[in-house]
Amino acid sequence: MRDREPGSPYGARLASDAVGISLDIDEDGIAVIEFDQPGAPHNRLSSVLLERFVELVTAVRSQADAGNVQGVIIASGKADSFIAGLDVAEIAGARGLTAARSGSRRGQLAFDALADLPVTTVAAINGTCVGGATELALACDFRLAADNEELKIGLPEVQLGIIPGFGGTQRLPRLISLERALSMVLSGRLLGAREAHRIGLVDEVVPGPLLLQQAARWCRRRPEPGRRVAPEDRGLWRRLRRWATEGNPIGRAALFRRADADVTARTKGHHPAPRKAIRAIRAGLTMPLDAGLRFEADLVAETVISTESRNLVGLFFLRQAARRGASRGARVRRLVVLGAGIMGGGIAQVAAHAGVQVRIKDVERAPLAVALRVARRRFASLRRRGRLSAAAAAEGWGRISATRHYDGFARSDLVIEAVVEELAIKHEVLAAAEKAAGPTAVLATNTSSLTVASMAVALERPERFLGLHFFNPVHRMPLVEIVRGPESADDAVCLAHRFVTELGKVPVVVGDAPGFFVNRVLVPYVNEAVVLLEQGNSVTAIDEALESFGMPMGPLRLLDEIGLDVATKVTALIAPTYDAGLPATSTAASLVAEGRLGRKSGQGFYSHDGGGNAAPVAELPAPDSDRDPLAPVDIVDRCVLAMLNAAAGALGAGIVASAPQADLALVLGTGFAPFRGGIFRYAESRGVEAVRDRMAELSEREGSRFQPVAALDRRRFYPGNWPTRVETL
Amino acid sequence: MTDEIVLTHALRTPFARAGTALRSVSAVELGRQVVTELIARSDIDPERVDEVVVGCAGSPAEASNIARVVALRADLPQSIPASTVQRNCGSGFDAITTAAERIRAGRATVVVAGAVESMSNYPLLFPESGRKQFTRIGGARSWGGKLVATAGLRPSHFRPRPAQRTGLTDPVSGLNMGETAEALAQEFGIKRERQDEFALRSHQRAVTAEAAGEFDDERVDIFLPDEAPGVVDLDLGPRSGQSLEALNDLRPIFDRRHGTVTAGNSCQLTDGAAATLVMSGSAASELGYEPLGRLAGYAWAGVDPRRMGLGPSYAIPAALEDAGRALDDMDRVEINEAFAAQVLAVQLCMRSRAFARDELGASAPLGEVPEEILNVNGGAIAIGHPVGATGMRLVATLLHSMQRNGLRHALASLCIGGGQGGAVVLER
Repeated sequence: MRDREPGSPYGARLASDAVGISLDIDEDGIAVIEFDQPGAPHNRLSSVLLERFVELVTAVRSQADAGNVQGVIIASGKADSFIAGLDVAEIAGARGLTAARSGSRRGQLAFDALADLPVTTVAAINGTCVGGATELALACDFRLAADNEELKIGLPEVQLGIIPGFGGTQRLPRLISLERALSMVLSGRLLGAREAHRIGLVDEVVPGPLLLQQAARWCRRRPEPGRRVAPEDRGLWRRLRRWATEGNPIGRAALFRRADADVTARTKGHHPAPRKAIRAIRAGLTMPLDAGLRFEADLVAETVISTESRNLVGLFFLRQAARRGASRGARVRRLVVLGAGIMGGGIAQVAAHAGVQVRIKDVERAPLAVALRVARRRFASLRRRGRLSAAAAAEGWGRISATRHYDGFARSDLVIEAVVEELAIKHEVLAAAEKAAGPTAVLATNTSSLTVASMAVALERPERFLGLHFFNPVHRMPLVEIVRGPESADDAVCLAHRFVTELGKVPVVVGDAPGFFVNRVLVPYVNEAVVLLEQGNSVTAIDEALESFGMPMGPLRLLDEIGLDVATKVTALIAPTYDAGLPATSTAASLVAEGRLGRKSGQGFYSHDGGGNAAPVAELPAPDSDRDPLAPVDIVDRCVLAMLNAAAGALGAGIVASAPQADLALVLGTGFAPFRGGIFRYAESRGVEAVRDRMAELSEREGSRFQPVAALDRRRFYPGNWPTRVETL
Repeated sequence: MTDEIVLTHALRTPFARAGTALRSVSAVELGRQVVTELIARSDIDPERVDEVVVGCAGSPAEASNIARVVALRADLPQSIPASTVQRNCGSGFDAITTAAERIRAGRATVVVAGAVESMSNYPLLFPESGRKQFTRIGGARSWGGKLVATAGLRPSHFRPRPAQRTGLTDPVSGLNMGETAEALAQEFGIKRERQDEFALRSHQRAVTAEAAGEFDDERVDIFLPDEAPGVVDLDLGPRSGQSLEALNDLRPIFDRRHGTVTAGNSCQLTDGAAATLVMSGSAASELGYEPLGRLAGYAWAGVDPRRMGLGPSYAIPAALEDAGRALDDMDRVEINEAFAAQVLAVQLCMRSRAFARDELGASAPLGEVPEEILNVNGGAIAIGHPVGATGMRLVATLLHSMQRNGLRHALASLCIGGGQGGAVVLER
């Protein structure tokens, strides 16, 4: 990041950077502590690095006491990246409450040493700065941020089920407004440089090349005691409002109450970390910093050893592992999308956003116009939320060109088909696209109910064909199933893997069975919910039970979202392919017959108001059963164990390669309670044998669909252990 | 023997009268969409493009070298240089002839030539007096000085002048384009009825051509993401129900008392863009393209600015000579319809022995352009005249028309504000 030429203002290097940290003191007495870990694109904090950091701070301290150092700059040697937080493996590696607590204390003490220096300290944030790195910056007197669109700063710890543990919950509310601090810590959202400046987290936004020079200038300032007023709070009205919300005990109490209510609504009581973060922040307001830090360390230790955090951290590693090795595949620079429906348009937008040239084809102009308009709105919303500059948004949208003919395909690397789910039409467009695209292009289908093999017969080069199953809405769903057909070649799969990864999504390679993996597992789950409904359980009872279990929405609400017509069609296609079959249900079909298709028609199991609200519909077909309503635990078991048996069946049939991949796919593809780590992890934590017994019991009462499949006949699904570092899946 | 110059692809946008369907689309965006489509449909590797030349009569203030902005927006590699050419109504031809000259000079082998004009987005200008006063306010050092300068503002300082009108007035003669057409009508005795009949014919031919799908291969869709219906796919100028009576009812607009030139027998001012891929013959065969046609010759001519409408009568013979062809060889001829009176005057000159002798130093008149080969698909009176883009539209229309009908020779010409004529000869 900085040139070190002979005669540069930086004097002799006092420490080597074997562990990735160095110290220079120039003749003006400005000390620069630079993080630059060898062989990695990002710096990551670790206990080794922190130890070394403390040594350097101590060295600076003695130089400062001797009058040789006037100020300290914390900098990074990486391009556009400051420090990407604490190495997550360190969190996962902590064994027991005491170890976790002392890990947190070590970091706190290291940053305390920095904060206690008698000279001015400045963090020169040149790019990505998350978690522990933000806490390091908070321990400095001043923070400067480079004017860099890639720069992201924040405390995302809650997303891993923990809370900031190196002083973040204490120093942040002492620096910026309580309202902003709560929102940053509880959401884990990352901020850009401008926004960080507006709320007072960053003191100045500086053009990148001038960052160090400007940091040296700030080293000459003395920090004024007391809280600084953030730029957004400079007006009289804002000051008054700030005082009303947090300048007095009543306002503060209200603020905490609201934060509590928000967290409860969002997590349904499942995630302990946000509540603990609120406690840490609240306690910190009434304590001296030192006591606050100790309290934070107690709480963070509790979160680190929690099952929820273990599961979330494990999924984090599984996610990293799934994206690994992308560079093996060829890069997709030009994409063709066939069919400008919701899926085709969504794929086109996401690809254009990632820098891919997209050509989208449809038979008619109208769907093309709609797809382009939807993409434009999506880019506009990214711009509004500060995720893209106006120029980048215009450029992104401009990467999509539209056509009604098979023209302009010759230089494409990948063609994704997203036309109607009719085999004859799929055959026709794929064959035509194969001719129009060059011989090296890979073809893919985004089908959700047909198989790759059934389409490959229409192609001359079936080895260059596979499935790329995106989920709706494309821009929000992180999972893409890469479906390896019987003839798909490895390099085609590698290209697809790299493409999905470069879109910022997570690829999971699955086998070519009807419904692939995710839908194959989801169908028995939602079907069981309909069976329960027909056995006399209410819509509310069923959906609430599964929401309490941790699903993002209940199965009947999910059916409304998918569309009952689509769901019945897919179910009918997949049902015959399960060994034990699926129990027949009639409710969904009769609702469809009445034109009640779910959210898109305003009515389904629920009545939808168009604004995202839904109330259960009273007049559903009467249950043809005299059974008593079930307790919530039984409802959960029926649905979730039906899902487990389907997932294990798929695992046994090789549709998914491993239990970890299955868990990752279900969490990302269906929203399966992430804090439970996935369906196999859930079974393992309940005890596989106990689960099998319960299933045998259900099987006797409800039918053979609960008869545990062979793949469940084992004690563990995670041989070795639940992942505590990135491994190849 | 130098390599021949060929055009392998030629596309244009729909044309829509200024202030209507394309009003929200900037000149840059029109250019971006048509150039993007040119690159896509030709399947050319953008790295093979050596230069971008774009013709535009009124480059927007925010994109004064509009060629560069269009090239970057169309995602052409930033290493490709781009320049804008301006020759008023001849700008679209100029982009092609400039490309040809660069290729002939050995400085390029493949050039993207574009032409764009958004007359909807021509700015309103402050009057000169107002501009001076604002400069004074901006230049004042003290608050007191600013106050004094601000107090000096007068209502007349705010009266805007449309750049469109200013641009269509010749600063040398002081005549606007319509007035030059009135002068020709008077000089050549061209009656109002003749002009209206000509205008009617333009509409009828454009409507017939549209119904026959004549424009389908040359025209791309323009997508408007921010408004319904989201796409413009047809020229909006041609009126199928146009009657002679309705044309007769219109009042002259440039000379209300004695004039004959009306909005109905003048071109429509429109928004539109076009793009062509121009390359050497050897590059085309190397890349495996079957050219639409080759540029066999072209010429520019300077004429009296007050009689700018006669430009084609000078440029056509020169271009034919450049191509080594006679008028009789031509299967199609386009004389851009700036004004019906002006096209009719050009035809009179071409037939006139005196004009040939006095103006061209030729012994025989140039000849007659038969009705059935002149502006066969209608002209700017029906389809419209986005000033800087029209020349390229004529070339695109001729190339696709030759292709479709198996014709070999065609000529396009236009008159140019400020007193010029331009003509190009195409062959296949």
